Amino acid sequence: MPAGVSAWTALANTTLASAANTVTFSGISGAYRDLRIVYSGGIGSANPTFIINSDTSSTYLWTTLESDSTANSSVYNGNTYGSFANNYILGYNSTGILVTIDILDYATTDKHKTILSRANNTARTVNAVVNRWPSTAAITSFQFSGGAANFTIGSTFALYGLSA
Amino acid sequence: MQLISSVSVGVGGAATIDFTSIPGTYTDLMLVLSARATSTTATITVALNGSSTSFTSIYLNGAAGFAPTSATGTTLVGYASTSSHTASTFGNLSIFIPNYAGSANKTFSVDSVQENNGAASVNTTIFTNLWSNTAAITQVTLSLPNFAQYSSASLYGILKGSGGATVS
Repeated sequence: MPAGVSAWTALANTTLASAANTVTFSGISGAYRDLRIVYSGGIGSANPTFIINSDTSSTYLWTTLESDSTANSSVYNGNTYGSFANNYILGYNSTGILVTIDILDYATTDKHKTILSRANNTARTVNAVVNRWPSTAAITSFQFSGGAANFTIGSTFALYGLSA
Repeated sequence: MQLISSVSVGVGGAATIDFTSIPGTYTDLMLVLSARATSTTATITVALNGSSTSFTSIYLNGAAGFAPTSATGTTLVGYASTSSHTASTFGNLSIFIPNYAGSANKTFSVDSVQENNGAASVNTTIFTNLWSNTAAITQVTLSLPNFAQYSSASLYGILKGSGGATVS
């Protein structure tokens, strides 16, 4: 196998038995180099966001390159843009969402954390997003938040640790 | 993540790279491809379980020297380096298919890069794809008019973790 690819360790996985507003991976071990998080499913009429280490006060600055196919690509950046929230990852849709998130050096205490997302939904958009969490703390919890909406039944959430 | 199967194209090339009898024992699939075409046609397409119907996609493409473009598509998943490109350069793509053995329609993502030693007009593309079919995926087929020798692909299975999450 290619270097690094074989080093995925499956840490946690949840399939929603009923609609839920938040899904939280907590107590994340610092034993890995990077994290990968996968969300597949749907959400009601609100863009999902994320919260790290229960930090709702920081600004998660972001930039996204995305397209809904009706126009050429758009680039947004800042911490808010229209309906896009502080910690934006993608637009909502009731089905067919796939989000993969990579967090590099998540356990280090000497740098702010970069969160790289690829979000997919053929009913809405394709995008690539980068967020920065302005904290040097090790990441020990990651929460998906539905905000004003709920994640749909059957949505799956998975957490992996990647070794160096 | 476990290697399920890998393929390396031999002398004479191949029109397809085909992974068959994929076991349903994993949670997700990841396929990585290194591809060069023997002709000037670069487009790589996918079929699942032998089907090329019921596919939809949105893709966003950046080509050096051109404004970015986006469009809807069907089975297109990327661009190989071609016979007109620098020798020994290969394009690459990765396909991620979550819950491939489940009973929902299959959403998957693709990241693709075409390589020509830094020259203009090669493509870097991100795709979101949907196969509107509830069948478990047991076969993935990639097609190009002809994959050149040394093109290669590997299919990996990803197992889910035993831990859970807090849901509220």
